[in-house]
Amino acid sequence: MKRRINARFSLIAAVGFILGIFAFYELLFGEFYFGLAVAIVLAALLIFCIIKRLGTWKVVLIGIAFALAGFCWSGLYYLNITDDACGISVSVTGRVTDLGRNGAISNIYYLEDCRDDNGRTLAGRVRVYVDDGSVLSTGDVATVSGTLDSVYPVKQQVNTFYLRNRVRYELRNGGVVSVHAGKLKLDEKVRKYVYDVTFDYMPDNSGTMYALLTGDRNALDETSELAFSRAGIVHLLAVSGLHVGFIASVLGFALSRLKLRPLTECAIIIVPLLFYAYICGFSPSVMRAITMLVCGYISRALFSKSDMLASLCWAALISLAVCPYYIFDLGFQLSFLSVFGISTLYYPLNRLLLRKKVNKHLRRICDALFISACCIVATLFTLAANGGEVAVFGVLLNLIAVPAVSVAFVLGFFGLLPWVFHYLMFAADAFLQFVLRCAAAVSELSFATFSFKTAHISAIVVIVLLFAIGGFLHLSKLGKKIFYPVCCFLLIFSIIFAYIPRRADNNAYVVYGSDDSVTVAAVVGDEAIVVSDFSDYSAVSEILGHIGKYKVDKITLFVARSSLARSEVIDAVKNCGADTVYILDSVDGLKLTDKFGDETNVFYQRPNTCVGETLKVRSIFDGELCAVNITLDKTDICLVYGTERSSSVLDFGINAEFYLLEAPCESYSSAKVKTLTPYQSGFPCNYGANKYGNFTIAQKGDTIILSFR
Amino acid sequence: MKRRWIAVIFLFVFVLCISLSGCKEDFPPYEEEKSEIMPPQTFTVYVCGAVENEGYVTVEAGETYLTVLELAGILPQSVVPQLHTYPVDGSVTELIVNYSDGEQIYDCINADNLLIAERLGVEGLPTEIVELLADYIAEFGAFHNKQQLKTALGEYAEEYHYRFFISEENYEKAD
Repeated sequence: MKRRINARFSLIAAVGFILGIFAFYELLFGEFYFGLAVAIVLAALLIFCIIKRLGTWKVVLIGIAFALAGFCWSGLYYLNITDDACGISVSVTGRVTDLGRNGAISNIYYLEDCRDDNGRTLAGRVRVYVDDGSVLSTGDVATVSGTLDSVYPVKQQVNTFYLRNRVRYELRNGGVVSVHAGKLKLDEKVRKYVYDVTFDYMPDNSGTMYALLTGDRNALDETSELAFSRAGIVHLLAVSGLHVGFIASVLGFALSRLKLRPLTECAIIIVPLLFYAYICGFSPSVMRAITMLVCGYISRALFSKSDMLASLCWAALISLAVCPYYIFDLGFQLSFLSVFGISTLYYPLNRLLLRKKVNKHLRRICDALFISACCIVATLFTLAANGGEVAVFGVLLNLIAVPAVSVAFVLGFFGLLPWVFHYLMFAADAFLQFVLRCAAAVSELSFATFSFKTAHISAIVVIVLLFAIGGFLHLSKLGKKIFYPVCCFLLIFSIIFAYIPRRADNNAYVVYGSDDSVTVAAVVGDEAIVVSDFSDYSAVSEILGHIGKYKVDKITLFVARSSLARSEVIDAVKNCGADTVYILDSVDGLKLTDKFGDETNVFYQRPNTCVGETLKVRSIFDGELCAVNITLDKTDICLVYGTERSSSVLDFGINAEFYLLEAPCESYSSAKVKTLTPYQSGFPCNYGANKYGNFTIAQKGDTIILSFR
Repeated sequence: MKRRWIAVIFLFVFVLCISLSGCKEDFPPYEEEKSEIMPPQTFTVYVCGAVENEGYVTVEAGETYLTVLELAGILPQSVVPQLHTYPVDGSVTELIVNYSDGEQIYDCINADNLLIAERLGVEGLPTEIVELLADYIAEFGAFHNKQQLKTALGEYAEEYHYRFFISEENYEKAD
């Protein structure tokens, strides 16, 4: 008799571990319901299996054990990466890494092996923003003074870049005190060598080849990256199975003459592969590929067969054991889901093809198409749920791009060898140029991509659906008649649900931009307002995205300090459907009256006057604009401009529930009022955006709720 | 069977306790912060002089003196003071609004002024007006609100009522 679920130990362990990670993540926000629900369901299953004397109780116990392990490990990992350095004036001495150095140069450096001026070693790397014009090189040992803050990679949006690169601190207002030259580490030397060779011998596509060989996209120009993304072939730039498979096959071919045992061959191959992973910074995709390769060797040696799904699950377990919060990385999700799609959907499609008895060459083309389609089907809903665009022609373009990029990679790999081998780079350049031209041509089509909204649950439904289609879930005829329609209904419902605008519940959404400016959107009923300097594009985009979730008939924009407004941000905002724009500081340097056109009314708000009925906005002047007070029904939120005058706002008798400041101010903590600032401070009642992310202030009855999601 | 149950449950509880040990009371870090809405701070200002309704006006913090004047009723003859754009902060508790005839600005006169009560000449006021007010004061005592003032002025109420103010000490709300 067939088992209902064709499970594997690794699959149960991976699912349990992931559930444990999510349970801990939800607990960070005070939501213990998810963890409680998981615990109750697993405990009930275990008790049911024991009562019914089913052998599957061991499987459930494994799931519980790994769920607990995932929960505990996430907690320990979180505590290990959390430190509360807040606004400490310090000098830090450390070594400049090559993170972000090969390729596009910026004034952001990452220092490692850092010590502060008290000789205390700082765990992890320090991100330094140098604004005094100094230029540092990789390997230099620099002393930089500034203001040190902890980075908080785990919050509503998990910053996996910081986690992957072990960045723990950020130094603001950095000024270089001293520099002396140092040495490059082995991986930095290799990457520098690769960069130099590609730069010298590939005039047009050095950035692309560098990304192909090392996984570092810093040298890739934005146009090429956008073309690859819109054409649906950006996955080729991530070092993964394609690259690792080639290296393994070259080494395997070389070792095949020795007729070694599989495990011995594996042990020899894994050394250069791990070195390659070291060069690529141990990214999740390369670790996935290497782990799957090793699992394949082990299972062939022990069981004479390999199982892709089991290898994938082991790879997921190992990657999440390294860092549990990789699960929140979109790249990680897409990488694993693509292979999951192949491991589940490909074989049924392949069997269908075999039954049809098609021509050998046609079968190869169909095979390639199927693999591409499996990846797209598995990742479609995850991409859509995260606001990404789906490439229409990805399936077809992969037929050309994958072989071309593979050849380019092989040529580029051998082109790294010294002497005449470098000239292979010219041939690689030609192949990459061909791929880039195809990608550019496809990406220019207006219908090259499409996007749709969907709830995150749809990704889970797709995983379960693919699991069933792949034959891992054995259902009776009646079961299939119920299961598949229910899954399809859930998918359709999750799309429809995402499009239904929510009823506004009297809330304000606060976003601090990278330039420390604050943007606030408030929604009450069918009316929304946005108060901002309109200087940070991503902050304003996020705010408009937040408003887009609600059914809003009237949008009013308030330009606080129009002298700071940027033209490109205003251009992005002018199509949002705003009926009215108020310029609060009476300075219209950008000629906003012309930018917004005839459909939008642009006014200058008189100083110290109030606009609005349900949502009120009052500008407060003491010679110049010093604050803007937003009244959200019974809640006042006061945006304060200028750090020097900020304490005087308290004397204006506004009595706001929240003050949004440009920097922490002691007088507010003495007055015991709640403040939101760009950076966390040690003052009580202060919430820093670098720690908490974005803020939602909601009013429910007579209660004000400040949440961080 | 029982032992298996007990072992499993014991293991579960043990591991749960281990994992929860070391929890701090301020964990979780991103839990929602809830607070009660504070009752709005209010300020009361006594407004008199060239306004429609003399008396106490209460406004919430954040409103300006212009709102105070609007609630008191601005007349065509009212001279809006310079601080009208400033938020009410409790520093000004009595606001006397002067009047203008279109050309010049004049200070309002205290209706309970001793000069009026003693029927002495008051600059800018005709004698008959002084007599009317003095008669009223002699019969009924000091003026306590604008209504009494208008009653005393009779047919001259429209033309002259805005030229006077009732001081806060004497003010009593009209019935």
